[in-house]
Amino acid sequence: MTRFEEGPYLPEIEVVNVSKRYRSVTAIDRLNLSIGSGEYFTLLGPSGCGKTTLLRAIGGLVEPDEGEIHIEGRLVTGLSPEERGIGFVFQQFQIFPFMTILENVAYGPSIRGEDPSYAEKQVYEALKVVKLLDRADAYPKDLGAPGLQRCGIARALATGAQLLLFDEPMGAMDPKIKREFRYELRKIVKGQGLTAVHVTHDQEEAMVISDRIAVMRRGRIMQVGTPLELYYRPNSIFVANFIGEIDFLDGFCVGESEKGCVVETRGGLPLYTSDSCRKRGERLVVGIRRENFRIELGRKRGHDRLPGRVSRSVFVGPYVRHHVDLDNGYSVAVKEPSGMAHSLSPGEEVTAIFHPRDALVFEYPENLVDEMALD
Amino acid sequence: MGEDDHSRRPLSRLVRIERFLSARRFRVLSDFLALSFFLIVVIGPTIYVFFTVLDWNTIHTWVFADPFTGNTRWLMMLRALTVSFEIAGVATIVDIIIGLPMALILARYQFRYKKFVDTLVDLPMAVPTSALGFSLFLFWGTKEGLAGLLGMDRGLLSRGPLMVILAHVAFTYPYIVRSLKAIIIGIDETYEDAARTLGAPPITVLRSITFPLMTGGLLSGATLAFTRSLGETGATIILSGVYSTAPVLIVSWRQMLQIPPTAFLSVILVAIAIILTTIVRIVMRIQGGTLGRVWPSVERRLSRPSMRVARDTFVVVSFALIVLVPSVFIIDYMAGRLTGSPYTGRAESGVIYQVFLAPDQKWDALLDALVTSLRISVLATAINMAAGLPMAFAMIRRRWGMVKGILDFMIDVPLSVPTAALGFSFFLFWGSEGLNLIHPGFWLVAVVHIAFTYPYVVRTLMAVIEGLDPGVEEAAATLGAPPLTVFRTVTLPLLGPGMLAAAIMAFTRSLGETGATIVVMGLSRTIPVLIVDWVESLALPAASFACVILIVISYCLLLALRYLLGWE
Repeated sequence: MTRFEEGPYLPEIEVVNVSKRYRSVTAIDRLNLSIGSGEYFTLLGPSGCGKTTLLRAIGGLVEPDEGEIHIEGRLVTGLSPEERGIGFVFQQFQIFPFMTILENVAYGPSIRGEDPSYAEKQVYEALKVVKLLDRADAYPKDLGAPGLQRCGIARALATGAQLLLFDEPMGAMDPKIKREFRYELRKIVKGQGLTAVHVTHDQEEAMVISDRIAVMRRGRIMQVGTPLELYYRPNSIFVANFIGEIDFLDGFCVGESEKGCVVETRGGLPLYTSDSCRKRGERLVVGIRRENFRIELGRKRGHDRLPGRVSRSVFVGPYVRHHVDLDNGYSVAVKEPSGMAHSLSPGEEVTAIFHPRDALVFEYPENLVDEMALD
Repeated sequence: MGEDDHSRRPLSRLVRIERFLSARRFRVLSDFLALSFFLIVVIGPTIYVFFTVLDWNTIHTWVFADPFTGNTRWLMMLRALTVSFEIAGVATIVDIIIGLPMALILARYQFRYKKFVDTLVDLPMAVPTSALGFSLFLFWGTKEGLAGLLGMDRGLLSRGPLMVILAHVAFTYPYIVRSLKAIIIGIDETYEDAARTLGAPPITVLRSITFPLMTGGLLSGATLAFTRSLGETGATIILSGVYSTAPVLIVSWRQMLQIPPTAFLSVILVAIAIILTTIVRIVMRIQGGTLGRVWPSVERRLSRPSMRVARDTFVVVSFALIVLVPSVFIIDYMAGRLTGSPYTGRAESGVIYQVFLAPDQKWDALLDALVTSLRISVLATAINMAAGLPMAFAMIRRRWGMVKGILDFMIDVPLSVPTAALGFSFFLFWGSEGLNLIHPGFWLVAVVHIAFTYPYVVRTLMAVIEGLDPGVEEAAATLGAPPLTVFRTVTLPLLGPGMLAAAIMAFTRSLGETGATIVVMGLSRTIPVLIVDWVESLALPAASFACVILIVISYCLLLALRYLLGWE
């Protein structure tokens, strides 16, 4: 169940069977999507997955080859961008360099021939929302990346658009500033009661900012869900692998415990999971997130215990990552918070332990390598 | 010395010589030579004409107070300058009106045969202006051309300013379209996207975003076309009739050996050129303009698809009728009278008789002129490559501060000086009035051609060198290559296509030049001059033959250039 179905949202954007091909490359492939009114929705995926093409198709900057797009119940395919009543925010800002900030923000209202006093009010409100009133007379070259993007948002707001499309809006910012800007962005959207569609390849950004996320790959949507759903209940190896850091073990379903399916992996190690029962003998893949492992010193046997030797330990700052070569030939990595991390040296015998509820179980795919590829 | 001492192994002899020559004193020497060449061979003679008119009394007598004609020459000069400016102004405006939509289409839209159209747009650049002038004359001014198609028995237009304007529009059209197209491609398309998402229909985007972003480029492209038109001689001589433009007046006064007034007129033209170059420099930096008034409903209506069809039709028709067909009409004309006149059938009016069989042996003259043309073009190109390469390097790589800014400006001066004035200034500098070293004839023509093609070579090379990744050269240096070896083994191979492109550019410009050649040619003849001669003596079929030869050579070179530069 997606949050949209249970939540208070009315559909704002309906994407029905939309495809777009560039010569031989299919950018988006018969795609269906429904985004609710007032929702902060993110399209997440690796480069080239078609997320930007989809956003541009919603905005009218790309004409789909087939399919329909509805905005607020109105069929917009075939309409040019200026007829769609949307606001688009660009990665490289695209603040017109020869106009002041004020002129940039006033561009939308003035070319629509709005009543001057009304336009002035719109512009003032927009600048106030993004806190740029004091820089209104500056030229774009005098502003840094966050200032320029604030101007970009104000410019979109001033047209009165209720739907904002963000194309990697923080792609051109420094990591530190980016982290601050996320909250600001969400605050503006929520504060104005707008609907937002946001494109990014940064999964942390997507998790923090979104109500719901669509994970895309190769022109298709893999999964739509809230950040929690994507993290705890990914529907595919790709989604599990794309969000967070995870290690996979493969094996066969050998039976059932009181909690769920038991998978036997190489070396006869039993993995207890909380996944519902599967067919006995079915080939499965079990994924465990690196932060869900614990380390115990010495070799321990038993279910959900993976004995092996440390190959190296890496100090990353907030956490330590231990790479463990398991006795059965696999290797996994274990993330421990720096404050409570073991101090391990290469060759030391350890056991990686996890809780059955943290084991994510998937059917064994036709092509595991392809499924795990991050493109 | 141990066996593992690889780093001390002796370098090859060539590299040792290169290491020796890489010493600072040699680098300074090479910079010095490149600069001296530029100042003495190119710039000095170009502005020398200023120093010859210091004798104000002579000028005053000749120009303002001639004992017989009074200030007639001054009045002629003023009239010629006025005509020149009017023609250049009108031609530039027409050019922008018909060239801008073409540039927009070529820069922003994808369609089949785009490459082909792009090549056609460049075609008039390959037609030497005297051939182009002649071709236009046949198309507009005789019953063989457009008039014949419309069933009239005499030409639509007669020689005069209108025809000159048409010729100037045709030959500056590629310059305008090419520079506008480059500017439009350089504008980040997402600015236009941004404006559209803010609610602007396409025409509004064009007016409020694209135009302001290209103001500087548009003005400098227009100035380029304007100066080229102002300084053109070959086509103008053929088409102007009794209305002389300033360069044509220089040519005719020079032929009448009226040196002081010619010098005075040249000074005026060189000064105008320098002022215009300065304006371009300033104008290039301009961007913007305010939004101005808006008419949302009008612009929305103009943005409709039906208007797009109207625009495309306008582009195609204007290009074909004003630029393309008139420029190459000469080929049709020649083909029609290979063996004789299509009307009377007389063999004497045919190309073959006039060129090969007639008693005045035009074929020999043609062959002679062709050899002279090629020798001059090859010589000018080769010398410019040798002298221009170190200059281009110095301009990009050395830190000369202010001096560099001034040099950068001066390199453009020969581009905008009318070639007739430039040639005349050279005549004064090297000839009996000045150093008394080189007299009109082959060598003076060569020196003049070196000067006016120099900017093409240096500018192209500078662009290529600027695009080089210095990292590769640094890599070679860390591997132990002395600077000169780096240059030979890494830099030169990287420069290859760009150098060839510069060479072809200079070569075609030299091959098609008329004005500068006429002024300093003495008894030598190049093909463009020969065409003017033959048109004036009304040997039209023979002239058309010479034109076609020149067009074929130039067009092949142009295609090679496009290929080398990888233009789409």
